[in-house]
This record gives sequence, structure tokens and C-alpha cells, in this order.
Amino acid sequence: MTEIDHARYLYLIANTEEEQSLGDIGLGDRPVYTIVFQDIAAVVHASKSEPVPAKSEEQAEQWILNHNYVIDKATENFNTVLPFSFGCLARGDDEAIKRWLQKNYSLYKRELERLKNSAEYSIQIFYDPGVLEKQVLKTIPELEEIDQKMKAMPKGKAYIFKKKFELGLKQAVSDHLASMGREFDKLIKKNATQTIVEEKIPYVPEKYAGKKVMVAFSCLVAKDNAERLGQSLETINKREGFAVRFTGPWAPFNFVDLGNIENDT
Amino acid sequence: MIPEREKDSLGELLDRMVTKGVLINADVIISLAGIPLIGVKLEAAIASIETMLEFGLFEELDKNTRAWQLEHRKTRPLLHEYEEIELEFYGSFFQELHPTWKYCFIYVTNSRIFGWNKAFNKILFEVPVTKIRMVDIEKGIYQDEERDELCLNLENEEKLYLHSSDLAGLQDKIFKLIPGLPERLGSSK
Repeated sequence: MTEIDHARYLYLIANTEEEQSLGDIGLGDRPVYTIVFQDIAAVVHASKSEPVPAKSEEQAEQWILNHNYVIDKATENFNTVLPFSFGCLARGDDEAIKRWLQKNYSLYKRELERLKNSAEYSIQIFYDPGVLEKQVLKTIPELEEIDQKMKAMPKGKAYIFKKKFELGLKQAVSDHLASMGREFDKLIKKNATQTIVEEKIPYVPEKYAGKKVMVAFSCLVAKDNAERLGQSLETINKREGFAVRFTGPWAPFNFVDLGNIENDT
Repeated sequence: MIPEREKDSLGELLDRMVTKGVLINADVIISLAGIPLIGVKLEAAIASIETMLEFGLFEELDKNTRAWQLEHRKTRPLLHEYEEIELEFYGSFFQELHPTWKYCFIYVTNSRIFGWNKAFNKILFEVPVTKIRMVDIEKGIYQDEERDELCLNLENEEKLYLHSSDLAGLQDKIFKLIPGLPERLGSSK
């Protein structure tokens, strides 16, 4: 065994009994293959045991794209997979990985079965504060009245009214959003097996500029429900002042539950 | 509505691939029929993204990555009260518990030496100066080449290795910080 073979870079765990090559699609075009234990397999490439840093920004970027590509390709071949985070290197050869699969077999198998025929989707709901303010204003005559009165007032007096008006409007918009939120939540949860609320959104396309994020979810969705979820989202997207961004299918990055594997081992 | 896949968006992928998914924690050594299976994160690869963000070399990247960067940018680690930075540099460290060299910003202050991952604002290792028993420069092998490394002998027989482009300067700084620290030269790992 050469130095090259002393570690395995981990992409994912999948349901398959077949030892096979997925081609030279790994990080740095390395050959990617399956290491099988019974009917599950780790998809890996053979690597040196010391992690080699990316030489440039482009290379690091390319590696992340490669990691994603292997996960996509494997999902195509094997149905749902358990994706690893970028950069997991396990020390040991194929036999070591096999023993590791054997040791955690029931856990991985359980998750593979639970997540089978499901995928992760990401949903972000945006709102346009200007549009919502106008909508809300129409429904609250008191506020609209203040708005009209202010225009005829001297500056000092108008200022105090303006503060009062702004505060009232802000509260009304937030009440409106809360009630919409409950409605949207129901629509989404109806078609999702599991949902989690994302705390941050790392990426928002240009077309949503100027809008505010109302809520962001990651959802685990059964294949049969994906279309219905899309239809529900369409009804939200059509509402004036709201926009929905719907992406997927992704491997279930947010939903693999290995419990306390660290304590087990 | 049909879901879209913006596969080429690095920001979106980074979020999923780097912060989510099954992770073998670097702090966990999975013992496996006598053969330790050690999960190590390619912190170095991440560090290279971090460095590029650090130096503002991201004109080529789309706005979203910049947004990601803005959100994550912390220019300084959080210091304790009365703590002062004596030296900061970009280098690598090695602990016997997690035997792989990891790159990060390393800070020597009047009370501790620590490594800081800028992109994730995370302390990677931390040693109070009062725990340092001895400092010397040793020969080590990295990527098949011999080089000098700074070895800090700590209490409880622990060792911490540091590497930087100016090892002598680093050693000097530590000696000034801890008067009376013994030095041993010419030993090897």
C-alpha cells in the first residue's frame, strides 16, 4: 500500500450492494468508487492521510462543486443518500471503512430507509414592505385618517403624528405578516415530512433585492408530495407583496439524524 | 411552481456542504478494531477561501459570496479583559490529539496562545502561557520535506507544534513573554 492509499475522502453513504466505480469525478478528478458492506456503501476516493490545502481560490471552489456533483450523481444512481460535509477524510484503507460501516450499519441503514424517496427542498418567502404597508393602510381607517390629516398640519405637530402613524403602521404590518405566516406554515407543512426554520440565508438572487425575508425553511419532502408542495407555494407566490424562492431537490443535508453517534463509538 | 437548482452558486453550496451534512467531528477519534479511524476536516481548504476573502481577492466572485463574506467577517477574535496581542500571524498548528496540521490565524497575547478561524470566528486551540513549560525548535517532516517547527512542551506532558514563516521571531516573542523559560535546541521529533 502506498502513502496515497492511507485515507479515504468521504462523500456519502448510499443503499447499494454493488462495488462500482462512479468515474473520475472526485475532488481533483480523482476516481470515485463504492466500498460496500452488505447492502450499504460509502462513496469515497483514495487520498493521502494528510489533507492537502487547496492551492488557490479557484481550486477550493472547484472542489466544493466536485463534492456536490458526486452527491448528485450518486443520488441519481442510488436514490436518497446520506451526504457528508465537505472535507471529511477518514484515516484507513477500504477494509477500515468497511469495518466502520459494519459497526454503524443499523444506524446508517435506518436513516437510508427513513429518507428513501425523499429529498430536501429549500423555501424562502420574501415580502415587499412597501406593498404590504399600502395593503394594511387600506384596512385600518384610523391610520389612513392620520395619514391624510398630517399633510395639512404644521411641521412640529405633524412630526408627533408621524411617529404615532409609523409606529401604528409597523405594528399593523407585523400583525399582518404573523397571520400570513400561520397560513403559509400550514400550506407548507401539509406536504412536508419534516421542516426546520433556517436562521440565515447565505444566498439571495438579484431578483429578490429590495424585498425582506419573511421566513426560510428547509423541508424534507417525499417525492410524491413535491409537486403538491410546488402548487401550494405557487398560491403564496401569487399573493401581492409576497415572493417565494423554491430550490431543490437537494440531498438531505439538514435531515440526517445519527443521534449521538459520537457517544456510541 | 417548479423548484430550481442553482448549482453554480458557491454561496448556496458552501452553506450546505460546509456547515451541514454528516460530519465526522474532528474531535472524535473513532476507534475501530484497533485501527483508529480519524475524521479530519480539510480546514486547510476552507482556510484558502477564508484567505481569499481576507485579502479582498474576490472581485471574480458573485455578489452572493460577498454577502456571505460580509456576514461572516470578523476582523479580530474576542479578547479577554486586559489581554493584549503581542504577535499575530497566519500559520499552522499540530496537536498530538488531532494529528494533522491545520492552518489558521495564530495569536500570541500576554495571557495565551491561540488559533482563530476567521471565517467561522472559532477558536481552534488555546494555551494559557502559564501552562508552557519549555519551548524549542525541532525538525519535522511535512509533505516529504524536512523543516523546522516550534514545539511547546505544556504541563501534563502535552505538546503543541506551531509553524510560521518566522519561527525564530515567534520563539523570541514567547521567551520575552515568559521570562526564565528553559530552551532545548537540536532535538528532533
